[in-house]
Amino acid sequence: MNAQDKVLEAKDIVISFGGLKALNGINLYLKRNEILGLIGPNGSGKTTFFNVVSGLYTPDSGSVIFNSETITGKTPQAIASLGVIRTFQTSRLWNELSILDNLLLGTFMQKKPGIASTLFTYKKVKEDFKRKGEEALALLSIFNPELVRTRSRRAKELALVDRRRVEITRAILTKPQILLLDEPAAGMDPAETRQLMEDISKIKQEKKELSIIIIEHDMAVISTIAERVVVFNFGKKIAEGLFSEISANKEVREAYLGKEHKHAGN
Amino acid sequence: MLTLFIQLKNSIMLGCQYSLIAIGFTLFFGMLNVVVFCHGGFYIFAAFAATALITAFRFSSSPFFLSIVTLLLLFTAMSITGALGVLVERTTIRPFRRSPSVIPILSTIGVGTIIEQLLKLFYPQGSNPQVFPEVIRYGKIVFGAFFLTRSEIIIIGITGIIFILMYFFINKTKIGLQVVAISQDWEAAGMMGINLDRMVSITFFLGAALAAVAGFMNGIYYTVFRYDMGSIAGIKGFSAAVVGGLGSVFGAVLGGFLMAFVETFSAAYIPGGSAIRDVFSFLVVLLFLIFRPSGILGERKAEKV
Amino acid sequence: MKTKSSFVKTLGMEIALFTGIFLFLYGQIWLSALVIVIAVGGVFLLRKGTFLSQVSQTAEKNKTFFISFTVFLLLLFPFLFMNNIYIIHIITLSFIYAIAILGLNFQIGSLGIVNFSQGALFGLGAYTSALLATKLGLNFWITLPAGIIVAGIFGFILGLPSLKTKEYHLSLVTIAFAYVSYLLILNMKWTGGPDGIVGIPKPRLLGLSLARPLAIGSITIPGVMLYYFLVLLFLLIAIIIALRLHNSWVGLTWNAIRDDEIASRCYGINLTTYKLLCFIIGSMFAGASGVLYAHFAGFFSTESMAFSIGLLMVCMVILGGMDNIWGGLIGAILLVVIPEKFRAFQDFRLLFYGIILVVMLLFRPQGLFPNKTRKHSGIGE
Repeated sequence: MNAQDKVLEAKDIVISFGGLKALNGINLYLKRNEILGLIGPNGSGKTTFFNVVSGLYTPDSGSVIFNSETITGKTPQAIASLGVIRTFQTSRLWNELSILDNLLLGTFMQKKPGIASTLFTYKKVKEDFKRKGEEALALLSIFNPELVRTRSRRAKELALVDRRRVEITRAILTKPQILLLDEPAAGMDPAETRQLMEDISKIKQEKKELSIIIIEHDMAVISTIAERVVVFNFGKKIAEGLFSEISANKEVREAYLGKEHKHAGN
Repeated sequence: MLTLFIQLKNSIMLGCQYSLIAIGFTLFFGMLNVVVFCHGGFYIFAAFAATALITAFRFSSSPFFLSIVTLLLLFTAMSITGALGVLVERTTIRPFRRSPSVIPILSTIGVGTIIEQLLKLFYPQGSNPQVFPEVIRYGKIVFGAFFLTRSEIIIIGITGIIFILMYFFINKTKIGLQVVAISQDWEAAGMMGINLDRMVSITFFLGAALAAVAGFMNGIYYTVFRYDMGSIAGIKGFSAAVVGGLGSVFGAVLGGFLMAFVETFSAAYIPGGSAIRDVFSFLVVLLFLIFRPSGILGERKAEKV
Repeated sequence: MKTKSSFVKTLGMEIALFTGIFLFLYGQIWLSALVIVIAVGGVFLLRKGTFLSQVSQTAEKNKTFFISFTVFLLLLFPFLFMNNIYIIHIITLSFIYAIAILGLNFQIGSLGIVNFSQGALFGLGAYTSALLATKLGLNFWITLPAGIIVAGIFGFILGLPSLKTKEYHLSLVTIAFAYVSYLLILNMKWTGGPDGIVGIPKPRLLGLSLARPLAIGSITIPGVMLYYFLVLLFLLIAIIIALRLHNSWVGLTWNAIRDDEIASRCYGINLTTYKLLCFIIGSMFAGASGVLYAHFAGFFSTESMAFSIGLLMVCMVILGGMDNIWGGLIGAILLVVIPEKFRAFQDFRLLFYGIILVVMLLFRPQGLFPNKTRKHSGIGE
């Protein structure tokens, strides 16, 4: 595999918080148009890793490379503009804004303020809104037509499941190259989870340039959707490979010993 | 050299006041993460309350330089102010416990305005300057060209005693430790069985009472006071608390004296300084808020992503 | 929906509104109080039913007509007070403040930063224009933009800490800034000190000075009324700018920054640019407002830019409704007109403001006119 196939690579990422090493020399890569699963017990550093990649944290040492460009040390907004988009465990939506407004902001991502255009070519702004808005609603209707109908509701009024759907839609509307999904199925029941995974697979198939890393605790999800899996424990990568390989791995089982998890066909 | 001593003394006198007010701010902030802007209102209310009580109930001047009756009346005024603090907390701060922190700022600014205006409108001759009754008979100790009056000694003495009491209260008493516990982790303290609401009320009583003492000191030392002095004193006290580090009692004391020194010496030694000495106070707090909001002694809190 | 009857209802509603306002302004105190009672009672009664939503929908559908009609009524309005031009004075004053409030609402409502310095920026704009006009004899139409620009520059300075400082700390910074500005100007000799600047000239427009009455045929329009029209023009421009900003990417982004900064950063939003923009534009509104005030009153001192003014402006936003352009306007107008109308209780003004602030926060923090989500009519229908 040559460097071209790796769309994202993390080299020796180390980051500490007050003496505690949250990430202790992480090395991993993401292939183009791949869905990589990232699993591990709570506190193993998965979300911290996402925070480093998305630029919210700067690692003490190590680098993150996106398409041969080093992105460590860039601001989160710069990294997002390059095409690395993430979701949050708590589904950070803009709570007072409506569903449609949340999505619109997703489509708008790289625009400059354009005060002059706002004030003097307002009609064009409105047309812009209409175009982007229709695009957003079309995508949202794939997830849930009901949300399209009630698009003026404030995000804070939504149920958890719908919050996740809106967040994922918003993320996809940015036309990302890399999507970092942080426990997208948390809080969903099996039927909703299955539906979500189907939707994600479909989108990944349609958009050939999209690569995804997905953090999940639900092993059913990981076994179905992830093409390759990386396992974290205490800030280190302890295993990597196909789901069948890592689920047989002794160290991985020990890391999860005593933890309840849904296992496909157990 | 003499002027240096005098300025030093002035700074200390001012610092006593600012510190006492600042302690209140720091206690409220540490416990509830709110900036209680009406604290200055407690300060000036106490001056009015004391004046009213003493003028009404003191019948004759006593052989002692500070009579028991006066002392009792001052304690009463202090308690009334403390009660006012509790009332304000219950009605205009508690409802906003879960709201964004800027809301209690607004509501307490409103309350501060209300207190001041009520004093101005409903206290007899409220809009005019008031004269604080003489509670300490004049006397002084002389050191060559320099002297300290009885009032000054008592004020410094009382402040010192209060600091010592605060130290013991926070570090040695059960209630004091509970206050610290709540300041560090609200939820954990609640789960330990600490009665949060009661502790908050106690803290407000205490903070307002301290502001009352500062108000008395202001009356004793400067004699004349007016209804609108509350907000300025409050802001200065707040600045002191910020500089020292909101949440740290020792920081409040440190900040109080620091601000007092800066203000006194800038007024004395910078030409035209006394006119804009308030500007210095505000600039200092402005710089701290921007560049070191945790103050000299405070702790930083990081945001969890 | 019967369009004709709802149209009539809406028209009637607007006329009733203006009549009520007229009676409130013109009548004796007892009449004004009565109008307030009826208005409050009316709102309570109507809120339950569909009347109000019907009216607002009709107004929305026939936007052009109702906007024109409202502007027409506003132009007509001052003529009703020809023999009591003091009332025109008050209305003009409230419109002047309304401009500053529109700017303040960008910070408080859209961006979520409670800014106590709007009064200071108001004063900075006013002083700039006043000084240029009195000391250098410059034309109003030069000093006005100068005042706006200076206010914008100071707004930028005020906005800088917002990049580093969080939430309420920032509000405290704005308080300190307000005091520092006030004290510095108060103590500088060339700004006139506590006496302020006097003799600020009225603007000249198309050859005629707003200081003198204008005779058109048999009607004499007093200078105050001319100034009213000038201010009304600026207010309408300000409203248009505010609406456009709110309903564009800029307004959306400001809201996003307010609701979740971290998510905003992760979605490519440059916080610096938008925060500074918000402060600069909001301050320019304040500057314009200050200039209009200074040339209206003919006199300006630091009393008009004290912290209490900044606090009053914040109260106006809270009373009217945060992040709601119409709410802000109404808040400004109410808190200028009502105290002026009940002048007999002048001494109770500050107490009144304090009580309103606390009561609103306790019982209706979203204001009289809460923020509504953007309509986006035409998308997805």
